[in-house]
Amino acid sequence: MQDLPLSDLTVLDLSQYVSGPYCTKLLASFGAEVIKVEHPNGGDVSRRYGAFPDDTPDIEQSALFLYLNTNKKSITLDYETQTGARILAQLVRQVDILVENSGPGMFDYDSLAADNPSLIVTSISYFGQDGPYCDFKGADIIAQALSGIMNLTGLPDHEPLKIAGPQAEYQAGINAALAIMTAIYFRDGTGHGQHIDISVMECLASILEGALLNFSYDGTLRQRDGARHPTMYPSTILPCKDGYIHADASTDWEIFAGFMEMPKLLQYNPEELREKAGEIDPLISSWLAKRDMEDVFHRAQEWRLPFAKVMGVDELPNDPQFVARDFFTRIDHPIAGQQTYPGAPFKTTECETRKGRSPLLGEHNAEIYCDLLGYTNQDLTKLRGMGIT
Amino acid sequence: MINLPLDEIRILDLSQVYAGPYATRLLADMGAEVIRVESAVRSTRGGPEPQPGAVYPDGNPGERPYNRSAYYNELNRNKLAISLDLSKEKGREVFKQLVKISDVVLENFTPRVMGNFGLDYPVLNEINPKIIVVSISAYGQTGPYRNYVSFGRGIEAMSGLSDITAYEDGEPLGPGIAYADATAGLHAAFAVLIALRHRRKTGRGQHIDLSLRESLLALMGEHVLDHSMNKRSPKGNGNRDSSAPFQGCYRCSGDDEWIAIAVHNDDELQSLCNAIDNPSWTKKEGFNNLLGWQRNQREIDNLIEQWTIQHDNQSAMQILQQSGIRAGAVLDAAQITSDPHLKQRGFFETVTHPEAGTHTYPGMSWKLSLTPGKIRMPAPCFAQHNDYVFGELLGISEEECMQLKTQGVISTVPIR
Repeated sequence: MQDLPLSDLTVLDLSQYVSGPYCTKLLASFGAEVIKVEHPNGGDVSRRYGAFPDDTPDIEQSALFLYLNTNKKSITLDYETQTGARILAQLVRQVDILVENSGPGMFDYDSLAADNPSLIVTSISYFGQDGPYCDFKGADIIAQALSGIMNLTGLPDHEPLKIAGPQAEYQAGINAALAIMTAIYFRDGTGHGQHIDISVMECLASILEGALLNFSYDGTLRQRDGARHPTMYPSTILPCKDGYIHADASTDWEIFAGFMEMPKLLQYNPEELREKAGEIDPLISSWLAKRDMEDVFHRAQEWRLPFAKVMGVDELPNDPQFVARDFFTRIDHPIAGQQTYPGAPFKTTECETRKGRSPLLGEHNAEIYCDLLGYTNQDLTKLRGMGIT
Repeated sequence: MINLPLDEIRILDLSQVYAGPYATRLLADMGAEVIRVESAVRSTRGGPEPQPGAVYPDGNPGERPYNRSAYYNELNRNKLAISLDLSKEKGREVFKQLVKISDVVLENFTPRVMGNFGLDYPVLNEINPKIIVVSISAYGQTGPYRNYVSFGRGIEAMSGLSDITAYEDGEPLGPGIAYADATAGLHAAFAVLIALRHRRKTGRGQHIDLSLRESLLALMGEHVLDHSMNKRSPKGNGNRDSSAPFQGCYRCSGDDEWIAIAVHNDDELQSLCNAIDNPSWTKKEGFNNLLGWQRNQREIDNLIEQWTIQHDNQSAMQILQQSGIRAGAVLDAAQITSDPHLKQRGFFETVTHPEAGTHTYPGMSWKLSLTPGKIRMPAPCFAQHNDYVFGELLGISEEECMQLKTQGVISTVPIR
């Protein structure tokens, strides 16, 4: 294997669902050996959430799991048993990074560090390891609510809306991966490990597009307003003949009027556009209603207007830009077969990312227990009999 | 004293608006010396005239609005700023000198721009083979859309996210924040760290090509796989989620006050029924287990709302959380700023900006026990660090600096 940037690092991954697994997926794709520890009774919860082929539940064919655990090794271990805890401690001594999202209080950094001082322990939780909400129970939607995202998403006369998919979890995952890389860079220079405390709520409150400092500066409280940009006009989604388009003139109103061949738009002062949206929208809409989405998109781009198509997920794999950049990858899996996966989130000139599949539950038990920790096959059979692996 | 992890890293930040500045904000928070290279004629901090829609302290743009924009000052704390006109030959020469003594160049122009400046990756790599160049763009540096323009909201549309961030049977809406930009910024900062570690091992720099659209698709993998497996496309489904058993958002007693509630199993469902005093419907067939709730979601929503509407969202959250239920008030910026939990966690920091005054800023995104980081300095004023960068770092004499000023290569105030 090519010497990837993280190929000298081993990660003990005790996390499940989305946040921790997305973090370790990123580390694995750049070369880290990720040992994913799953409960012998069914493994990671994301194995049960699907989607499944033909909606038939199967812990080896959950889309969420298959996507989030590529390039990892899976072992089964119930570390809440005494023997299991001993085995976990053996593993902790052999790794560089530990990632967990079990909630505050499950793992004690000081005792982990006593065994392995250069260890980087990463704890991801909805509200952080301390503070008044630290024992609150969370969920993706709860974090999106408390962090301010929901208040800003959706229509003004409707209930607040969450961003679709487990986005709070994903955000925590990428933040955790970045924090770990920072801590690794520090450790490379100094030898010091440390404890990383990732709060999903804080990761999300950090990306409110200025809403918090706006409030602090002049008391501005932004209201949710559908697809509309908070200040620029037009930057919103409108229907055209055969679908929806993101119409955008935020670079230049005059060019926009020229593109639409509608000089009367210039009677509006650019500074009052946003507040006159109700008046101008119908003018744009009636123009769009006669035109095809694809055509408007490309013609607007010729005018350097940042229009975009509202695309469904089903249209993405054949999109010419994705095809030209070879973005999606086909990955084979012994049970789920060949499927299409999103590729790496960025391209590099020096480090090709790994393109392996997700592991079966406990697929690497023999490799990790026997080859790494020195247990015999008989030991492993016995542990399995006791329900520990 | 412990240094910050990135305090020996110098980053030249040519980026504008959100994605790039957010990436360099994260790196600056962890100690990197980030030098914003800004143009006197086109900077997102704005020029001598107030920007429409911009937020200024107490609503007052002041004499130098370009130093007082909330948007700019939030994203650019812990950074330095110089003015340098890259469209002039002399400006590019100075920039190349900076590349020699820097570790990272980060830009988010449309892909043709760096080439037009004569500053694309092969050129920068020749000047400094160890340089890491990060190019953030809407669609990537290659392919038929490479020179297509888009902001984050357009990218959310082109990625399928706007289509599914919608009410059931409603029109596509998308996130109410610049979500694609934030996501790209985070991935870009991660890419910098990957490239730095690669350089530490091999001595070589490299070019990172990050497309907003591709980095957003990385957070939608389960939908792509579902389509691959079942040839179907996800639809907008309001606050439901295929990866969560039961959840919704409910109206509370105050004006535009709401609470989100999630139920993951039958035990939690029972706790919720107990917490809302077991109204008679909770005993009905089909309304007393999770499967039934999933089948009768809309009816259950209305029944839960009959309870939440009697409480303000903070007390509803406290009552439900004390019963072990996943519940969270939908907070606005004012409530977040005074949230007792975030306060006690030290999330907010008070920062005095020389031209914008003293305000509460969102602080570090996460906590590192040994190298916590903080807001060490407010966002830079326009050209604030010209003397340090041109004089101290590059050793350009005062006479030469005067000449550069006369030629319009560097300036002390933005022109427009």
